[in-house]
Amino acid sequence: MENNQVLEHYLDTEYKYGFTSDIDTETAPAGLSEDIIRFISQKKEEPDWMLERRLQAYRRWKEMPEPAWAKLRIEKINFDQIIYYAAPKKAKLNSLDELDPEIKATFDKLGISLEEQKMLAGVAVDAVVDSVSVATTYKAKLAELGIIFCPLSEAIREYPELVKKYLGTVVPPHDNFYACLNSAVFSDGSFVYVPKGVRCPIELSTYFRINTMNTGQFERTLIIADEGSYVSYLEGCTAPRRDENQLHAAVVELIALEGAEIKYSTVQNWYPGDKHGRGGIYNFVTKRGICKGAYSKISWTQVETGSAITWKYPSVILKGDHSVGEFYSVAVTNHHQQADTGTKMIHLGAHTRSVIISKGISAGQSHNSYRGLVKFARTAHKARNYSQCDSLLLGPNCGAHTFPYIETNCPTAVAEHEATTSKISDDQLFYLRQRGLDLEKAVAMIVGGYCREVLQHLPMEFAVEARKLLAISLEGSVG
Amino acid sequence: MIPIEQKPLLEIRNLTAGVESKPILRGLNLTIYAGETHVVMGQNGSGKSTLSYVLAGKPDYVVMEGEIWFKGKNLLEMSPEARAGEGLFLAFQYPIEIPGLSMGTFLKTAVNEVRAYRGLPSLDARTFLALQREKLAELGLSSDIMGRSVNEGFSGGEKKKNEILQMAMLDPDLAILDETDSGLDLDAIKQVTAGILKMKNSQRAFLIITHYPQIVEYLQPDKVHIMINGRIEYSGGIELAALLEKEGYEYFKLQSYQN
Amino acid sequence: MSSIQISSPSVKESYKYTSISRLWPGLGGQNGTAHHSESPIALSLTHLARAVSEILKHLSDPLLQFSLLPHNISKIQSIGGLDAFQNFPEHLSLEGPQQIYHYQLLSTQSHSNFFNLLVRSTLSQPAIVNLYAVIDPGKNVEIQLDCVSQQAFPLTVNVVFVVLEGGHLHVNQVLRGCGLMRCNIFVILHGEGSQSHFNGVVLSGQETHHDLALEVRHLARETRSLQKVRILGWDASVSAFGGKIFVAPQAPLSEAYLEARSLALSEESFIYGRPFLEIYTDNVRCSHGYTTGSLDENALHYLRCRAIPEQIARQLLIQAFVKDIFPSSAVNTYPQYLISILENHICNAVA
Repeated sequence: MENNQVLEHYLDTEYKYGFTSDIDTETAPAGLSEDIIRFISQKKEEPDWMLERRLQAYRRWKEMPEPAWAKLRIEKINFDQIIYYAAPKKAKLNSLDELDPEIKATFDKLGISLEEQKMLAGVAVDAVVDSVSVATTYKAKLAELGIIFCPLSEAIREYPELVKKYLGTVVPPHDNFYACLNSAVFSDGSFVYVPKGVRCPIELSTYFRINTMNTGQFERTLIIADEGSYVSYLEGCTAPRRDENQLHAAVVELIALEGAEIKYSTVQNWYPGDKHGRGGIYNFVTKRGICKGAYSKISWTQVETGSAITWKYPSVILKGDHSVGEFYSVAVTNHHQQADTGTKMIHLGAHTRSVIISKGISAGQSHNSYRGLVKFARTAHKARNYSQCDSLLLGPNCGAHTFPYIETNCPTAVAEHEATTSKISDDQLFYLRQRGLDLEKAVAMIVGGYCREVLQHLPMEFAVEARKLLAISLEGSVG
Repeated sequence: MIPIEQKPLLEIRNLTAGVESKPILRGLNLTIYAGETHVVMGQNGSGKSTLSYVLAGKPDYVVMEGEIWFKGKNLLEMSPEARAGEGLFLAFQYPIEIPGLSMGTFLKTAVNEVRAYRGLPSLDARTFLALQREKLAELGLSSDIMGRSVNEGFSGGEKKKNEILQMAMLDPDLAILDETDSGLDLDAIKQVTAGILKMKNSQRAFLIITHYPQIVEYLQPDKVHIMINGRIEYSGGIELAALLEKEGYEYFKLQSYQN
Repeated sequence: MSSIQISSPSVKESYKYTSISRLWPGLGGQNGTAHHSESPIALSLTHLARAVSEILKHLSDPLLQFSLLPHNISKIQSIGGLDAFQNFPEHLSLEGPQQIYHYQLLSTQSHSNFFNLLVRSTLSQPAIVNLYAVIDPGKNVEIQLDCVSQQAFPLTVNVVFVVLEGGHLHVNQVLRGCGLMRCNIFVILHGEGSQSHFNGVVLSGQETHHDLALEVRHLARETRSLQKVRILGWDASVSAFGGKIFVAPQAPLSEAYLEARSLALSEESFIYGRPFLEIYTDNVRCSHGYTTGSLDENALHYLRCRAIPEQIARQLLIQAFVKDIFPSSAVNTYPQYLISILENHICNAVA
């Protein structure tokens, strides 16, 4: 009985960061047309080639059906009611002092004030409020090393050759419905280029916020690591509470050339809706990297606790011989949240290796699915994959699902996949409580241990936040 | 003890071998005559197991230099199964588990293949079973293991005894035992060595690889070799093992540096 | 006669199937070149659910006609696991689309708990075979399924087992032949404490396309299932295994385990593995493991060191790989029948 009360209490823990900040924005009319796309492109002062790409994507998108294969219950999205462009009025800032006080206050509430961030552990912050980057720090320092870290909109103007060469090469516009939509209307995001042989000395970081009512966010990020370089990129999200569902369809592309390494970490904590399943973000993301050169490496680490619906498969195309792909994921769902997430490891090169570690935790009435593809092409001589997908169920009314796809066309390739489903045992809980831990601490401890394999791959600064999020989402959720 | 007038059973000349392009054995020489028991001792990484794998013809192992003659034939030109047919037996340090393949099928196939190689007729079921029963009893193994999959779920001791059982069934001319004594308790070591001693005769030779001097006491070998860094640096009688036990490997290493 | 029309698999279920266009360009279905009835068609879940609920509803009346079941299967009997299909005539052609049942009963032997079934499409037409069996409370049934595809004539086999309270179902299955075959096995653990144990082997050969979709639904408390599957990818072939364990909210204290392993023996073989879990309650123990790879070189070497020639060693290892899933001390001779089929197949393939 007592357990149940604590359970109720914690299952009721609602979104801590649910608040709204009031910022003047300039918004496009709702709905999508070629005119709207021209408007977006014009607002962003884009060259013609970019506009043309957007229009092509839009025409393609109009022909595409919405995907229905994921194990998700999605209300019909009315794409005509979405506002595809919104920007804070004071978009161009020369220094942090010019930042809209409201935005600053928002960051303060979230505990990520830019001033603090600037000093904290050498993290450069490219903060995105709604659709336009409003502040970029550490740019000069990075520039010394030849590293480009700026909003993508700026890169389109300043580094058109790089953008033209790589944008849309990993996730082509027609890749899927949401990626195609993004290709037509993407707002902004980060652009990173690390030159040959350069090891980026700091963790690059962006905080995203969704702020304007009914504004879809269409982030677009492109990271290129040239030969022998290294970069670690952090992405973190929190969002104010809203009753309307908000669509988020981001695209992230990573390109690792020979001997390069990209580490991409995400903590996603967008508004998940209330405990009755009202509101919350629809998070339909296409993230993909290509290990283009030999001995390159791409590593995805994600902690997904937010959003009403998550549809996300950070993937790696292992093209270069001896390249390595990694995917470490913790996905937590509570109340009525739904997550269908996983990865794709496409082995093309010889001696390529991939590792997949996925930990799904479901509570309340939520559904949490792992969906992953491991594919060995005929050329993937002696390639190897190891996958482990574990699910933890907290309570009798949630669901945990595992949908791995393993495709082999190479006799020398080896794949191993394991999956387990379990609950926190009463014995474990009792043991910890007998040692003086209260129920929620005991659960947090067990879940923390359960996720350790994944969390240890996060950069230090992020791991702390991730643990906090896990605790908030799950303490005491024992059935 | 050494029989007069004889060609060597095994002759290794200047053997350099290893995995990929990395040599582990560096110019090793060793000659064994029929009826002899040799013990090769050395620390981990000295190349003992590599020697056994090269002799048995493990595919990953590359011979870069030197030659190996077995019963007057060029061993390096033979497939692993031909080597076994010729009478070379390796008791593996880590016997391989093969789920789904029963010991009975495995052993019967092996025995008859060896017999076929040697121009002998297959054993009929009754003779085979009688032989099998006899050897099992000698090693204190239950006949239940014949229904189990090869080495699957065997205890450490059972695995090692299973190697000795196979040795007994296959009737080799040269048996190489790679650390067959390691990981066994005293009783099991005694059983295993008893199995070896029982098979000693004037036709058969043993090459025993170990890093424990104790087994030398039980086996009373004709020769003891000390292997350092991919070569046999010292050879002698059982007194060498006693010296090793007293002084340790470092002593011998030091000696070899000074030479 | 209001028989259910079998329709194409719904979008939700299409994951179970691999594209057949590569080997069977005429049967893709999308371009509509092939006649509808020529393509092997799955039993959709909706139809399955209806069929099963019908079976359950009428259990008390063993002789009831099931006009709602696909193809008007004449009789379904609730019987103690014995000869569940004996009422089918040996050759049964039906009205409507060109679908043909053809099966042979191997034998039913005296042992009341063993039942054997051979599914073989030998006619010069594509065939769909639908089979339903109910395992009565507390009964222990063992079934051998030998499914053989024929070149040029696609075969679809749909089998539904409903296991009632305390019933035990044991199925050994081999998929083989030289054509296109899709096999949908549904095991419904309907009664409390019911159990199932499935062993399946998918054998391939030149130009074969074999899909095995196995779905085990745990619908009651304390149900247990164990699934073991082996896939051999030879020649230019496509082998697919889709295994789904479904545990309903009303099935606490259930246990399910699925182990699938595949061996790629040719550069031209495609092997698809989809071991799925769908779990809707927390107090259960479920896991699955899937591996794909080639023969263990160390094991091969070990056998060769015991004088076994390479070809025989390979053969033994491949045989071991598939035989591993069959219980070693089978009291029953029928698994032996399947095992000898496997051994011969592997022997020929290696040679």
